[in-house]
Amino acid sequence: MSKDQAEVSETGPQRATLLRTILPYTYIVGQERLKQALELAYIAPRIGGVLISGKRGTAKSTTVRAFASMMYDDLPITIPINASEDRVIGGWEIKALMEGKAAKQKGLLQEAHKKLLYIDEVNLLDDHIVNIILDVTSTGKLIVQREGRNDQYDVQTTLVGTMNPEEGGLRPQLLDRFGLMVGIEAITERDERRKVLATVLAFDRALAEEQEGAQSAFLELGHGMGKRLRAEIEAARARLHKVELDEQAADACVRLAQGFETEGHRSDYLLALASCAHAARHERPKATTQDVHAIAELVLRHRQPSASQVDYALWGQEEEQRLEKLLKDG
Amino acid sequence: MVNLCTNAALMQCLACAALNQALRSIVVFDAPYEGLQELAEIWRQLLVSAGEGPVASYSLSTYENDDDLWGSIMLPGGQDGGLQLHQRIFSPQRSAKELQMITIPDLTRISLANTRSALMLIDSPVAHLERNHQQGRWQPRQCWLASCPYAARGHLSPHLLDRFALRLSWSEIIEGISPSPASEEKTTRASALQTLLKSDEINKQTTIPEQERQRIQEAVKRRVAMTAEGLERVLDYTQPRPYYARREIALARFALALAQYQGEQEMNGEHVDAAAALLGLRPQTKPEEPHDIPEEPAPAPIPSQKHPLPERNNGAGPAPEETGKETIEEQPVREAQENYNERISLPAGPLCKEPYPEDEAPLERDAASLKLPYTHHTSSRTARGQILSIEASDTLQDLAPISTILAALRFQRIRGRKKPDPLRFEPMDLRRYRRGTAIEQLLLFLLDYTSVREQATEEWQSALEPYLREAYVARAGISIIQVGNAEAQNELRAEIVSAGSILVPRIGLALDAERGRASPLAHGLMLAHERLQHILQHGRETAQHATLVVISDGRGNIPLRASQSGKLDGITTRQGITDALEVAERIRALRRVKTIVLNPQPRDYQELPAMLAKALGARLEKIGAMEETQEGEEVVR
Repeated sequence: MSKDQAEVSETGPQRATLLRTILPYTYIVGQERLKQALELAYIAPRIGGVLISGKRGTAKSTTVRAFASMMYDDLPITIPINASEDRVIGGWEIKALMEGKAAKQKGLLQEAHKKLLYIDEVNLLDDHIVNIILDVTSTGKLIVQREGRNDQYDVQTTLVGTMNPEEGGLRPQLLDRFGLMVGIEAITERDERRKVLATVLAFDRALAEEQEGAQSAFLELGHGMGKRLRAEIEAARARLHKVELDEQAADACVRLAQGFETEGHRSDYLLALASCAHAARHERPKATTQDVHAIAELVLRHRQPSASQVDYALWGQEEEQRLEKLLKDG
Repeated sequence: MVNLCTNAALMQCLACAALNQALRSIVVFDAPYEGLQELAEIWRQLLVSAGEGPVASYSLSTYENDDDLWGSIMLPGGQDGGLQLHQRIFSPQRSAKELQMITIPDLTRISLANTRSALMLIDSPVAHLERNHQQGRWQPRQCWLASCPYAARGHLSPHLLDRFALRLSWSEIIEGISPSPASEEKTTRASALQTLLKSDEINKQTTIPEQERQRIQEAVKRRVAMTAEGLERVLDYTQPRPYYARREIALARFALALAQYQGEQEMNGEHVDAAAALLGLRPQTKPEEPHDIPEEPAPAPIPSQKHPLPERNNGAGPAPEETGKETIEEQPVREAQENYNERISLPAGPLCKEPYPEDEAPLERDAASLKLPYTHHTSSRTARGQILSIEASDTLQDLAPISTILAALRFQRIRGRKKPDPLRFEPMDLRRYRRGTAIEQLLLFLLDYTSVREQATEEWQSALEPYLREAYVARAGISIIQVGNAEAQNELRAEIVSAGSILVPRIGLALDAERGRASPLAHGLMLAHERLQHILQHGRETAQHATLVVISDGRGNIPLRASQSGKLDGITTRQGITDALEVAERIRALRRVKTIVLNPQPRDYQELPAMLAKALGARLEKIGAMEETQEGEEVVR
């Protein structure tokens, strides 16, 4: 193998430099629903992940990267839309092969075990790669049977996907793999727009300062606040198993799943789990119908019969009224 | 040759894009190839002057695939004879060594791999490489400069176009060029040609003025503070509905860079107005009093709020049809600009009169145009369609031989091969081409809008439905030849609209055209003949068969010669009909074409549709009844 091989080993300083290009999570303006979904998925990994759908320029990718940076001290494990199968599933290290040795190379799915697996523009991903991801996320097993390998690994990952629905929908099977779905709406209020603009320009300035060798107070403050937030979220995760779902809330979960005509039993389970995660986040020992109400949209939005194409995964006044009615009926 | 450096507004714009790395993505509407190259050269020199180091130039075209762009295993020319992971344009190693200037001569015609790569890289803080055993992530260091035909803006994905921070227009750039003293002398076209043919004129490389170099070198050292007034003024320029954050942010960054370039310490409302004027933006709301905001916002407060949910709104989000056409009182820009002009000379602009044409562009692009196409083959001939990439294979069909060999080479040592034994292959080594969709069937409509009553639109469109349905199932390509379209560029000529499938929105628009005055039927049939010949006989990607459906009363009143010249000599005669029948005979001679004439049952000259059908060798059907006549016969060869 020649010296110019394209294998890259990332150093610590290189990783740190990359992380500094990500806006701290605590500076993200608005997007409360999205933040809530990401935190719930972290607190309860069995939720299975978050799909974020929104038009161009709505800070979807920015928020996901910021969240991963805060919670994992690293960028999310990312599957780009042109990823090849060997990198997704795993294969052999090419350098070792050239020398006649067999050294396994981890794929992205394996690297994402107990981490966040991120797919930007998930609706543009190659169908073949989508099938692989579907298989692994539904079974929790990564089976590598290619190029002479025969291995099996457990893979538990929080799958996060972002997409612009104007560029096409998502296959229903993949849609179902995401435990939660968030529909991002563009910010239109002037005050919010002002904050977004001020934040972006302040971040630009901070990056310029760091490039010149100075330490940016803006970034230090943001990362500092992020550490405190991370501790809170981790604490919520630790106490999740102690949170109980009260009976009324359990009934509400079943009623909602039936009332919204979702298929199978996954919806009511996810409603229950997400409610408990919500209660854990708010330091409450019991999940009530209040928690169910708070998270219902996230679970049900993409499980309605009309949502087989993500374009139609709408949640508006009609759905809210139905939700209120179903919760009251108990 | 025009000297773009004399356009002060352009120089300011490119200088700002050199100063601020977030502005390094520019689309220029209608820029010719040479013009784009010159813009790239000027920008490159400004970047070098700004201390950005060596700038390497690349051009993206119509054929690159992912391996060409992101690298793959290749055979090197080295002595060890082994394989090498070959770096290409997008790699962490290259990014570390150089700033990349990537030019795209036509954004509407680059390959799908190029488009998807641009989507991943432009305006992204991190690039990811996960292909062919390569893994890496890095901060992209790229400048993107693309040309896009304004007329074809509807073909582009707004999702991609939104990523370009700055929009310029070639015609406005040329307008802003100062005439040189030499060109003010009267020159004849002949002497201008002589000048152009001189080799030193052709090969003359643009060099930016020394003054510009020094100016940008000074500007780089400066840091400009943002003021509350400036921030507020930015918000006045962006429509709240539909709202695209990138536009607002780009304007703010451009205004900051402009202030930096002008030697200012602060960016205020005047800089924003000047920046907006350069970019062709007009204020959408009245200026507001600046809010008292801190220079650097504090992070959002945590724990006590626990992410309070936003107030529920009525809608589920902005509807795609909303284009923000609210009645908003405009504020004149000139007033603010004149104050600015008193202090700093403002070069003439704007550099683009319509910076965001995608907001009102007709929807002409394919659905899901950024996705890899579905592979759907109805025939056994699967080795067709443009090669998009390579994929693993479990058959020997359409093998990619080089990729298969390279895949096998990786394992030769492990498989115990010793030279000069032949290579040892395993099924897992097989690689095949992943191809784009090849049209296997073509549905061709020739619609003579002058021959159908406006009241009968529903009838004749219903008559087309069975053919459209069949085309949908067969994933056929479709072309519509419009004869007598009121909105034709030249009413003496027919026009053709083509698409890879019937689902493309421009097909629907073409079906709904309005009735014009002239009937260039002969020209329409000629276009049909050319299209059929091309799709059935030309190149490797020929279709298997085609269906031609003609709706016409046969009364073509424009002779073919008039259509070709674009002018009508004298009054119309029977020549148009004669010409149409002659061309129809030529279509009849084509093989693998099924032709149907739908008879609109005209009141006058009732025999003409049958004559046309006979010349075409077509089956004649009535519109509405869909009955076969006794005379007509189905012609399928």
